Amino acid sequence: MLPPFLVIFIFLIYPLLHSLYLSLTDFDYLDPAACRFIGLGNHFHLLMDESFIAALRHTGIMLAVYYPAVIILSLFVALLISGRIKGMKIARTAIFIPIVIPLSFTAIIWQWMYSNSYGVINQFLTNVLHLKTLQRNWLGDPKYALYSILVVNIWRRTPFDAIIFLAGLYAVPQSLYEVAKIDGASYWKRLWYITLPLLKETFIIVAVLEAIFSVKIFVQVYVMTGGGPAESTEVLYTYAYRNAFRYYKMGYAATISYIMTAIILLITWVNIKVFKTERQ
Amino acid sequence: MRRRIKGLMLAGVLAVFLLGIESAGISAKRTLRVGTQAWIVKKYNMAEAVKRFNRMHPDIDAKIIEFTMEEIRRFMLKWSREETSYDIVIGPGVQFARPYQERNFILPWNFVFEKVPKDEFLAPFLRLSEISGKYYSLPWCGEVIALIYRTDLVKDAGLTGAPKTWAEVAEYAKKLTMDTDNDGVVDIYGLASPLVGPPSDKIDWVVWGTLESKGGNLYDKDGNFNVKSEKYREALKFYVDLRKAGCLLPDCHVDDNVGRNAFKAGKVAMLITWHSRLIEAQHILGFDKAYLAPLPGSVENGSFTTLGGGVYLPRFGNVEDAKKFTFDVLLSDWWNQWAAENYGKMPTVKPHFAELKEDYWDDLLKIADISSTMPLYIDAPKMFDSIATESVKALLGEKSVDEAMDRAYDKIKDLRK
Repeated sequence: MLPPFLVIFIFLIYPLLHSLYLSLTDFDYLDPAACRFIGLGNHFHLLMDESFIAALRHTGIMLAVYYPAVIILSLFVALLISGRIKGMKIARTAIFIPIVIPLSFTAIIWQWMYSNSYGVINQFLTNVLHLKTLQRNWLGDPKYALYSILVVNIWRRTPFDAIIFLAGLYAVPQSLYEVAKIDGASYWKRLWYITLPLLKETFIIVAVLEAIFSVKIFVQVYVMTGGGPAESTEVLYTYAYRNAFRYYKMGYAATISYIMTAIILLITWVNIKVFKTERQ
Repeated sequence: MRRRIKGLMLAGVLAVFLLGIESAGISAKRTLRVGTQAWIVKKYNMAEAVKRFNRMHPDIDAKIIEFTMEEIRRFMLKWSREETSYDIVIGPGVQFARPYQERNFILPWNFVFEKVPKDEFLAPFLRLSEISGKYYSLPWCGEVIALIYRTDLVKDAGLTGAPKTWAEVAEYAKKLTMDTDNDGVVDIYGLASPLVGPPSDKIDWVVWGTLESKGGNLYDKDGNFNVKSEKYREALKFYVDLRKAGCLLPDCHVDDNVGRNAFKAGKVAMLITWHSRLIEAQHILGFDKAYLAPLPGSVENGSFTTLGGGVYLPRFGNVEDAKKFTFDVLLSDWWNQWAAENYGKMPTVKPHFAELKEDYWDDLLKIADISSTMPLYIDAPKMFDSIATESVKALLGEKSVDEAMDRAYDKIKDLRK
C-alpha cells in the first residue's frame, strides 16, 4: 500500500505545483518545445482579454445571484420537509430526483424545455396559462440565457443543500423547542432564536460548498449554450476549457484556473473568518 | 492396453499440435482498429463495411470502435505519447488536421493518388486537407450549403418553386412568415439557418456560403482570409436584416439542430444549411414535401463546402492495413454511394457520382467543384470562434455589422497561419 503522503503528492500536490508553473509560462500544446517562462505575462494579458472579463463578470453574477438564492431556497425546502406532515416521506425521496439524474442529461432536458420553438416552458405559457406574450427566447436571448442556466443550477443544487440543512435541523434538540413553546414563543421566534443560530455550522458547510460550485460551474453551460450566444453565458471554467482543449493554450488556461482557485479560496476564507468571529 | 494408451497419447499430442496450428492461425490475424465517431457508424453503414473488408482480407480482423466528440480532445494527449487506440480515425473535423500535422502525429494520404488520380477528386475537398503540398485528411463526406424548402408551405403562401435570387429569398422569407391563429405571435417562420457561434461556429459556414454564392470571395488577392470586404458584410447583413424583420427563426443561433427540427415540425418554411439535411426531412415529411435548391448564384459562383469530418492516419498505428481499408472501403464506390443515397452524404471522388439518381446531384457537383473551403490555419479554431462570436453579436443586434467585423478582424489578424 502506498503511504498516504505519496498519494496526496502524486494526485494533489504535484498537479497543483505543475499547473502553477504552467500558469507562469506560454506553454502551447502545439509547440511545446517553444515554451518560455513569462512570469505574470498571462495575468497581464488576461486584464486586456475582453472574453475573460466577460467570463469573470458572468461568474460574478453566478455568485451574487445563485449563491444566496440556493442557500435561502434550500433552507426553506429543508424546513418544509422536516415537519411531520402526511406525505413528507414521499417528498423527501422525490426531492432527490434532480441529484440522481446525471448532470449532462439534465442539461440536455432543460435545453429542450427552454427551446423557443418547441420547448415545454413556452408551450405551457402559451397553451395552459394563455400568456403568449411571456414567451421568451430563454437560451437564445443574451438577456435571459445566463439566468436560465442559473435556474437549472438552483434546481439541481437545492435538494442537495436541503438534505444538509435537514441533517442540521434534526441535530437541534427538540427540548429547546418544547421549552420555547411553553414560554409562548411563536413559530417565527423559534425559527429566529433557536433554529437559525443552531444551524450556523451547517450554513458554513453549505456556503463553502456552494461558493466552490458557483465558481466552477461548467457542464450546464457547456451543454446548454456552449458559452453563447455571443459569449453571454461564458464563465471562467468554460473559458479555461476552451483555451486548454480547443486552442491548446495550456499556460493561459492554467492561469485562468488559478484565478478561479484564488476566488474560491477567498470566499472560503471569508466564510471561515465570519464563522470564527461569531464563535469567539 | 499399453498400445492403446500410447495410441491415445499420440492422438492427444496430434490434437494439441493441430489446435496449436489453428490458434496460431487465429493469433496471426492482424487487428485493424477503425475508430469511428458515433454518428458515422449508421450513416456510413460501417457494420457492412467491416464485414466486406474482413471477407476480402481473411488475415485481418477489422473492428469498429466508436468514439464521441469529447474523446477527440484526448487524441492529442494519447498521440503525444506515441500511442493510439485506433489505426484509422474517421470523424474529427478537418480543423483538427493542422494541429495534428503540426505535432507530426498523422501521416499524409498522398499514397491514395497511386490508385485514384488526383484530378478525380473534387478540387475544394482536396484543398481542404492540404498542408504544404501534402494531404492530411482523406476527403470524404462532402457538404455544400444549399437551400431546402417546404413545398406545402410555399404553395400555401401562393408562391411557386424555389427563390431564384437573394432578393427573392428575402421576399419568400417575409411572405412565408405567418401568424396562423392571429394572436400576434408568429407561428411559422420564413427562414432558419444554423447561425450558431462557438464551439459549433456554423454561422461562419452559412455566411461564407452566402458570400461565395453572391459572387464574393473568402480570400483577398494575396490569399489572406478576408472579413473586411464589403461583400462579407453584405452576406452577414442579409441574415441580420431578416432577423430584424422577424422572418428568421429567433433561436436558430442557439444550437445546430433547432432550425432543422423546426423545419420538420412545420414551424419553418425554408432552411439554409447542409444539403444532406434534405434526406432526413424527406424521410419524415414525405419526398414531395421538401425539395433542395442551390443557393441563388451558387451554380455560377460556388458556395461554401466542407467535409463532414476528417479521416486521419495516426503515425503509431497499423498503417499498412489502414491503407488497405482506405482503398477497399473508404474509396470504394458502394460505400460512398450508399451514404449518398441513404443520407445525402456527398462523395468526394467524381466517378462516385455516376450511379446517383436524384437530379440535384448534378448541381451539387458543379457547386462543389468551384466552391471555397475554410482556411486550415494553425489557430483555425480560435479564428473560427472569433469570427462566429462577433457575427452572432451582429445578428442579435449587440453590435453593428461593421463594428462586429472590425472586431473580428482585430482578433484574427495576428493568429498563426
